[in-house]
Amino acid sequence: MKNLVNEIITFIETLTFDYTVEVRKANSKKVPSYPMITVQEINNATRTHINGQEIYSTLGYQFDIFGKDYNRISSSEICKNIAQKLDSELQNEYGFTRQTIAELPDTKDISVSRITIRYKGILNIQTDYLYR
Amino acid sequence: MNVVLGHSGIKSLISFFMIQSQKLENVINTIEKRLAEQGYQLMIQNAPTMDIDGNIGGTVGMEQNVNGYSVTYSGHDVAYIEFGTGIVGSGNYPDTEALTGNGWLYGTKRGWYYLSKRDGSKRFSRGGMLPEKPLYDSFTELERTAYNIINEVLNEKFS
Repeated sequence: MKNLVNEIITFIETLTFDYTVEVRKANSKKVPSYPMITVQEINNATRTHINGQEIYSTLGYQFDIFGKDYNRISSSEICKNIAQKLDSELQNEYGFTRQTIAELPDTKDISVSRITIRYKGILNIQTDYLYR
Repeated sequence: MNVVLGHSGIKSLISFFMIQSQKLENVINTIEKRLAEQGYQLMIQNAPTMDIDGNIGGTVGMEQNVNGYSVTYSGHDVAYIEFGTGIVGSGNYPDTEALTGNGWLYGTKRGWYYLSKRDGSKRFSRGGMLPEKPLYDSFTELERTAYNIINEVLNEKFS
């Protein structure tokens, strides 16, 4: 079994966003900081195993982007901006398939905006190749 | 199938394909229904039956529509049950006054605010709820078992 959360977090930390983005695991106990991306593994199931050895794993990851209003830019716009960059970089680097994107809630006049994106990928844990 | 060359042979061939075409449509409908029923059962198993962090569980349904069948999970708080309400840090927020000077706005309590789908009001989750994801888990399981279901229907109809 391979868990890519730490690797993904390290990868996202190397990216340059229009805003300074905090990246962390979803169960982090650190003080909240905005804008922020949280990464959580939501699926890691054996897909194929031969002679007791796992070959392929089905992986699922959820990314939550949180933002607050900044310099008259709405939190919703900040989240969308980060989501677009994150989405293209994750698909480019890992070849994940985006399964869901949800804006929760639609916060025109509320302090926190949030966009949730879920991805799926099939990992060959012997070669580290990731398939769609 | 043996086909006699000539007019009658072509007629019987057409008739054969017409029957197969109707059979195939019936197979597709059965597969759709069988998959939806399985999806519905999985949702019943996976959907929480109790409130979670103040979020009320939804209702699982199955309906037929123009595109086939849909399995639904509806309710005021189901989006938060599926995707969670976010996380919360264990420390205090940084100095609000200093941050406001830089254009940032922070909440005063530790936790997350989110908009209630029930009444549109701002709600607060101190604990932070991780996703329960009943839909995601059901879909993943259905995807895994779909091949067997399709295979089962094809065997029933064509063997």
